[in-house]
Amino acid sequence: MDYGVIEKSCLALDFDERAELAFLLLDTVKGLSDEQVERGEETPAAQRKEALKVSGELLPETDPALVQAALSLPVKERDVLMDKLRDTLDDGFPGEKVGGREWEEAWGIEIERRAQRAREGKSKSIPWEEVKKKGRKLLNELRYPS
Amino acid sequence: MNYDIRPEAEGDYLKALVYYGIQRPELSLEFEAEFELFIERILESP
Repeated sequence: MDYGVIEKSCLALDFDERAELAFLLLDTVKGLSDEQVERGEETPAAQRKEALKVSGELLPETDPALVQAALSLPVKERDVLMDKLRDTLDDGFPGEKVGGREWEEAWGIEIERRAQRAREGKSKSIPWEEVKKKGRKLLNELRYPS
Repeated sequence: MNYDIRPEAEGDYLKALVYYGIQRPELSLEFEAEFELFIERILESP
């Protein structure tokens, strides 16, 4: 699948799918500077594999071949695609700004889905201190990639 | 203050944290502090 086809198909995805895919692409380029991306330097294979591994869970309704093709693009193209997807979201990445009817509606549906999972006992809670530690570890990895 | 969060919220938090960290490392720390403050305010006055 060439880049043009992948980009066109990705931009045609629905809002939630575009947002999740943008985040996954971000995961595959995080830790690289703009200059490194420009030079075509790659992130560690394990980092890219991880994004691919969780993609099925985050994008269960999306064609896995398309997701795999997008996440397997060369680094420069992944970076370009991430920016293009991000530009299609009303206010950038979800959580970056709140606003826009499409975002509000999607968020309302998501909140209800989460509440339902919690009511059914399908969502196990995690101590905040554990989440905080995980976040600090991620930031360290971002600053000092191995 | 001790509290738990749901895995979906954990995912949202970590994504936002990394996003800010990519922009500027100090922003991610500000975000973490604001997040804690916000949750504590909710817990104090639900």
